[in-house]
Amino acid sequence: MIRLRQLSKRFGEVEAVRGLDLEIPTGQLVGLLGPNGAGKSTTVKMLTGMLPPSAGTAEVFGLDVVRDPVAVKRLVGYVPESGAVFETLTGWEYLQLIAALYGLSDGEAAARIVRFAEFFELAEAMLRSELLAAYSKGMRQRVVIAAALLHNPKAIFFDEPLNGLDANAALAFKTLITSLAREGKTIIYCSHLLDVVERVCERIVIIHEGRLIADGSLAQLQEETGEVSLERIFNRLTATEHLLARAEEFARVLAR
Amino acid sequence: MSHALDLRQLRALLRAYFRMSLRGKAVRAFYRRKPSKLGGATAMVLLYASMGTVAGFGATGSHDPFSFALVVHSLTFVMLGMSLAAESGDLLFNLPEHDVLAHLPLAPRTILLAKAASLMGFALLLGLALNLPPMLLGLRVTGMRATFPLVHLGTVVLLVAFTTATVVFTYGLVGRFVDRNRFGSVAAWSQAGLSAAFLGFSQVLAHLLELPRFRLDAAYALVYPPAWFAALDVLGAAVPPPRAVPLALLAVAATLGLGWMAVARLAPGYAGALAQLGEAPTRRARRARPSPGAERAPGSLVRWWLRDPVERAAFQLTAVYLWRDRETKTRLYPSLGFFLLLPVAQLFSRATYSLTAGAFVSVLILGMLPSVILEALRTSSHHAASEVFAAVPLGSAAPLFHGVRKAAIYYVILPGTVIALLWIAATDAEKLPVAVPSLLALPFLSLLPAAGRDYVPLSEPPTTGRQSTANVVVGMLITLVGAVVLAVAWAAQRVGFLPYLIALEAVGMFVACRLLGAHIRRRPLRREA
Repeated sequence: MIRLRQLSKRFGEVEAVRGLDLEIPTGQLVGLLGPNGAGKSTTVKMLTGMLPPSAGTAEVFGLDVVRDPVAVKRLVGYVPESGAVFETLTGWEYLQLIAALYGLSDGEAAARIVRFAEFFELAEAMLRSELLAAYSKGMRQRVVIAAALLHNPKAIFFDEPLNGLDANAALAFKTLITSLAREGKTIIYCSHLLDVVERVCERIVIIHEGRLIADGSLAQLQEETGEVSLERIFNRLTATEHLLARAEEFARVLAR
Repeated sequence: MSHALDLRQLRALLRAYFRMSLRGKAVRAFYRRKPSKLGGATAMVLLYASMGTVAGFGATGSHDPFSFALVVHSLTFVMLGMSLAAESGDLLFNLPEHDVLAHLPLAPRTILLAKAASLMGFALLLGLALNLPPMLLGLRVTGMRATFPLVHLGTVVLLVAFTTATVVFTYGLVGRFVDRNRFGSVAAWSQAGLSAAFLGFSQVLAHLLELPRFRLDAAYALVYPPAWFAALDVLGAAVPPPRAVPLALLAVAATLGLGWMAVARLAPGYAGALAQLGEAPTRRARRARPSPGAERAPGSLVRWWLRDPVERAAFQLTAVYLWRDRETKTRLYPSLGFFLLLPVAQLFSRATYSLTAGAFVSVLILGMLPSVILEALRTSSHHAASEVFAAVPLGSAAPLFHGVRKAAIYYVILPGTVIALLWIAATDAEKLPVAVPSLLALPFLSLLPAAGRDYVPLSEPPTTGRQSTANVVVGMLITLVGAVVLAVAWAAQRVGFLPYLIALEAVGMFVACRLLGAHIRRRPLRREA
């Protein structure tokens, strides 16, 4: 169970997250949506113990993220939006580094890396010999996802995980997260790819300007808003008005 | 794409570089507290101004205006050259910036000129700070006219341009003539070579300080650039001695020639090299070269030393970056080259130093290495990847720090200690115990980089001036303290107190290391709040 009570985060004058209240039961696959700058990544970083909240509380499997951030980090995995890696390492060295930081033994780490490499179609020979600098963006992203899963976390936070993945890898990933949720993992999935969220997530949470503005299954949100697709729901709840008219006007100005 | 210089683009780039340098850094580091905007630059200016004051007072003892100007220009040339050698890699070969600029319709020479101008701006800041006190102090020298401050201001600007052009020209040559697979490595070594060259000039400076008067007609004035700029000074602010005019002309011609060659002729080679660095490396180059200690299991003693898995992981990460990463090499090797060659350079100085003194300078240098290496390994353009250290279950940054510290000890400080001890033993074995108090301080010195704040490897974005300032500050502090420690040890040996001094210091250092180690361990790892 992940529980947020009036969770807030302020950066100087800017209030990035404003009093979020949320409960996510174990094994649920939640899509966390919001426009750019809505506070999704900040919320995720607070829930992973990476960023201290300014106010409110957050508990992950009964552990307070402020009082016990290290214990929280042992239980969760995190795929950052940046997808940044130490490019001077080989894929194998990078995954070994992460495994060591999670306290896995070398043998255990090697066995898991081989399994992940097989699933993500990363050739072991390439993992061992080539620097991450030479990987394509998609391959690098697979390494980052594998790194977040290496220690078998109870909850996994994905921040735009499909960045750079090709269609096959993206499909494999979507299958993986639904399987992981069936195995009892709690998954928080942040993305702007609404069709993926619509198909994969059983619950959708939308935040806007740091506040929670919608929470429920797709059917509930459809019922509440009267819209059919998640895209229309999202647009209705978060977009500035007359989007279409403004786009047409802008295109006309540009063409002059 | 046009190859002509576009002044509007140049102005826009210069404005952007200027703004970014004033704002400290383009990207905020993950672990730092609020980045200081001008704190670093102010400290750097004050540091160089204080060096200029000392040098200015020292040089006023010169017998004539030319000798005064020569000492001041020599110091400027050496200090700026070494700073630029340490800093230029980050600016000239900034790959993230290349991603931003490469697709824009910019001629290579426009980009190179903007970068060279930005580098020159940095050097000018240091050069003016260094020369402001001597500009005024020079008026005390017999025969110097009241025009000296104004004339010296002009010659300093010209010397700064010359030094910057030398550095840019060197990289232009490397970019033009070295193939893409070896470019990164050759650039790092050329940077180290530049450092060594400027170090060589510093020995000329040391030699000059021992002379009562410098002769303009000496043969090496023709190949010693500071002499050319000193000649310009006396042409404008004193009665010019014979041969001042040709030397002054040489100063102007060399600056213009090198600048033109660097920016106009070698710019396409530079742009090509930068583009190749940004591309995915070729099959041969992208294969990971094995790093000593990174994969191969070291001896059982080292395995025991690295029994903490996080320390071991940080050790291996450091080893890989020390051996493979172009950026780390270009930042660290020039600094290391300077520190490692300094004792050797003493051997060639005739008057003041002897072989034994050179050996003891190497002991002094050992004290500087922990801070220089650890500060260099705090910085990387891969700093965004260090976010992973905040995501994993680490209560404190201490094991990361100790892993990096142990890599620095294992790969550089330990071999350096063995060499220094062998050197002393070979020259004057009786003096060996005198080195012990300095060596006993090494473990404590290696803990200092984490004393004030979290040490997270590769977590801070590169900032112009950081490495050279760290080198100068560490160099000055350790030289001062180390010289005192060596002098005390020397005196203690003469009166038979050395064994007691060593015992006392060993206890003191043990306690200090335990206390500082505990302080570092207890501090929780926090990201910027």
